[in-house]
Amino acid sequence: MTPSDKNKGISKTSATAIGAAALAGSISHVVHARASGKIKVGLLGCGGRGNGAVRQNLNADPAVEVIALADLFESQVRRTRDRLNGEDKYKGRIKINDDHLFSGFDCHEKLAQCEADILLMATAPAFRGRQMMAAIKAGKHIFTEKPVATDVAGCREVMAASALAKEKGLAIVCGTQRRHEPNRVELMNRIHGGQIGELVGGQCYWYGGGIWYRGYREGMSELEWQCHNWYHFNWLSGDQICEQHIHNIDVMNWCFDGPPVKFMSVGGRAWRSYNEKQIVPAKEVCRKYNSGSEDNWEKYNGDIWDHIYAEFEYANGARCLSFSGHSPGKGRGDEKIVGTKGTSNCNDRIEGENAWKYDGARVNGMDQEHIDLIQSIRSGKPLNEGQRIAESTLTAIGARTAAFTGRTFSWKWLYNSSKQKLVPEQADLRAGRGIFHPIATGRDQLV
Amino acid sequence: MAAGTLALTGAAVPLAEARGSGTMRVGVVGCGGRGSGAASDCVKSSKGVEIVALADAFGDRLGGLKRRYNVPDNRCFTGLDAYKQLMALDDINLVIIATPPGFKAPQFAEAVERGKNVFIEKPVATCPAGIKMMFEASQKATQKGLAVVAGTQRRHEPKYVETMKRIHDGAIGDIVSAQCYWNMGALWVDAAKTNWDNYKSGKYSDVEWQIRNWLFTGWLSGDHIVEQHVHNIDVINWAFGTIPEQVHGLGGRQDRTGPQYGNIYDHFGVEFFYPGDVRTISTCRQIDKTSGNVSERVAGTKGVSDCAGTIKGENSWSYEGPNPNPYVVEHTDLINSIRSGNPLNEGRQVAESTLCAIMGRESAYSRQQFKTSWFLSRCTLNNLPPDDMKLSDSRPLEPFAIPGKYQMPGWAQPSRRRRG
Repeated sequence: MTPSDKNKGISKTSATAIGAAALAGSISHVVHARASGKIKVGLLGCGGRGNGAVRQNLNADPAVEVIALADLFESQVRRTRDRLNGEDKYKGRIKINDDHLFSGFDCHEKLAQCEADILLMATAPAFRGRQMMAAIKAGKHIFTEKPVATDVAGCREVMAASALAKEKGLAIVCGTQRRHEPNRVELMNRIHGGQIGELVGGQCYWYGGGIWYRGYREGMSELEWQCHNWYHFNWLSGDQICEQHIHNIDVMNWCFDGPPVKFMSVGGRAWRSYNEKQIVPAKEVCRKYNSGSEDNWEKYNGDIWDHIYAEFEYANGARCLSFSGHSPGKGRGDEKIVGTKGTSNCNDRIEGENAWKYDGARVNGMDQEHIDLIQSIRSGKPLNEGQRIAESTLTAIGARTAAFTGRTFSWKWLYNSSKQKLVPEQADLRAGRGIFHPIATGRDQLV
Repeated sequence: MAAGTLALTGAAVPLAEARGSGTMRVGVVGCGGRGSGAASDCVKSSKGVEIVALADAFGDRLGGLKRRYNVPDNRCFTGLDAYKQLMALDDINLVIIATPPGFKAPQFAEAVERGKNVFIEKPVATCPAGIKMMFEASQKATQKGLAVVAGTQRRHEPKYVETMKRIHDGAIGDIVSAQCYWNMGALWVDAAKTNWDNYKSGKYSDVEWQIRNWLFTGWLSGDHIVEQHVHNIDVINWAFGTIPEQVHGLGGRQDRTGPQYGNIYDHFGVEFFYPGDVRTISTCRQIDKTSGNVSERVAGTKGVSDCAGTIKGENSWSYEGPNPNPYVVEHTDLINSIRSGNPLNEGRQVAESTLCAIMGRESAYSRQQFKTSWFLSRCTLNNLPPDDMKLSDSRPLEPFAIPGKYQMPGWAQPSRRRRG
């Protein structure tokens, strides 16, 4: 960081700390190691992202040891342990006993009771609030993947967990890795310092070609299959705007240093319902759970939309575009912010009166977020990104809700008054029938 | 600015020296709701205006205007080529074109060919072929000294005209962000059902059903982004003083899914990229029980404006002048321009705004992003009705566009072969 940037008015002290950590680039000088010298880590959610996160955490600090794994499916837990045990790179650091392999719908509760220092959370986002609360109550630090909820109630749970973490001095770092990239940290310092003037517009995009569809797997109950194929169900994934596009939405919120004040969206499901790559396996799943019948097979094809075009109005009146979805066509995933004195790609450059290009070190944010987490714990200044990621998640949920209902509403209403709750209580989750909702009409009732 | 100046003078002063005949002898092509409204507004707008001939595809649509203006039988024409018979009348010097958009471009070209001044409702086409026909005929109208005014009435609304004058003079600085919306409830719900019943019972042919139900027929209405939202897109073009360079859109048919609603969507969200990479939000929706919003907004380096009488920022201002009915003023301006010998020609302007809306639609249907220059030179979509089309023709409606399946005519998928 250049001396002239030191006093720039960035309001989030965590971001400054992250930036410093990122730029220091090494953990070797850390002084306040824990007494044991070891950091015990448990992983919740042993899918692709969980397997990535646990390795990134292992890479972040040589003191990390993985001691517990949890997943809805026992097979995932065992496979993950086998793979980790088989990697020379982590030899001697994978210490997972049989009694530290947890599975089932309540695996997060069991995991929270083990002796881990940090829990990494990478399950489907629906259950994050209760997972985080159980972990914080048990005194664990948290790395959580984004998003952290699929409904408004879930966002409030995460906010409560975050407040409790603050009280207890526990860290929460979230997998919105752009916040941990030094190029973006330095850029945001400049934007917040007024280098592009007042913000008057912006755009963010995540439009891609589609997502996997996981078909029937022997031995799974219908609800378990649904959790296995979670992306396609709104109550489990939050839809694509929440699950994926949140990265870009979070960057917009970062620019404005807070969430929007108003939502307006249009959107729909124009392609997924006609996509043969989903239809064929969806019919098979239907037959398996319905004695060979294909009646109402459509519900197995999921209920998420494939495009949402949202407008966020921020506190200063600026209106920004959020453009997200899946289908064949033009793909993109980036951001742009527009001010009265210039524009920025929200990544590494400013154009306009104060043109600038980042030329410092580059790091992978997905590694750096784990380095920053551990460093913040060691230094006794735990990062807490819980409230912020709950707000960005709620921003995505707000845009989705505006699209599903066709209604325009304020952040204030959403935050204070919405009764939206999609995720069942923990006690109602058991191997059995799936939980299906109709596809949103675009004029659903606002709750 | 000629239109604005006229609009602000406010009165339809009958100029002493009208050009040619002082009387405007008007033929109305398309005698539905909008044609009837336009005829009435035209008559109200100025002295010396007579409705003297009518044309419509359907005889049952002519009655109202025929009675109101005592138009004799031999000057009422029906059928798909009725407009040609009307325009062949030598004593008509102004034609109101208020047919479904898919018919307008050939009718406009015919009017110009026959030397008529034109009032043309928006939008003016549903495909690039129609737009190019509009461009050419507009140019020809200029060469012939004919007046052309379009039903984008905001261009004739003093609060808009005065605001735009200030925006163009720099009151909000450089425009760096803009938004426009037409979000509303459903339309023609009962009519769509009646039309569908008549079609299913065999009373209507494919073509008759599509024309009677034209709002929901893509090749005729251009979809609602073209048919309706063109107004707001036109305002944004006006503010920028130019049209977008690129477009990228989304859309779908989420709530209005019944077959009586033809093949159009019920929502669009489109991003328009103006020169200098200035990006504009555009949404339109026709779904009941949703929040409405019909407006525009531009944000500049020195302030923001609603384009309609308010500027906030360094040069805050609000319009406090009169608000005459713009649907009448547009005719006043048209007729004054003819009589004063300084004919307005809005043909290209309305064709350009129609083009933008068509591009937004095609981008949403195909989910592709493309340049305006590409669309005009390479997109081969042609919705123009064939010359020999008959009301009794069988011509099944194309299915509604499904992204990933819809092929935009002229769009070549990038080859994947080389990567293997």
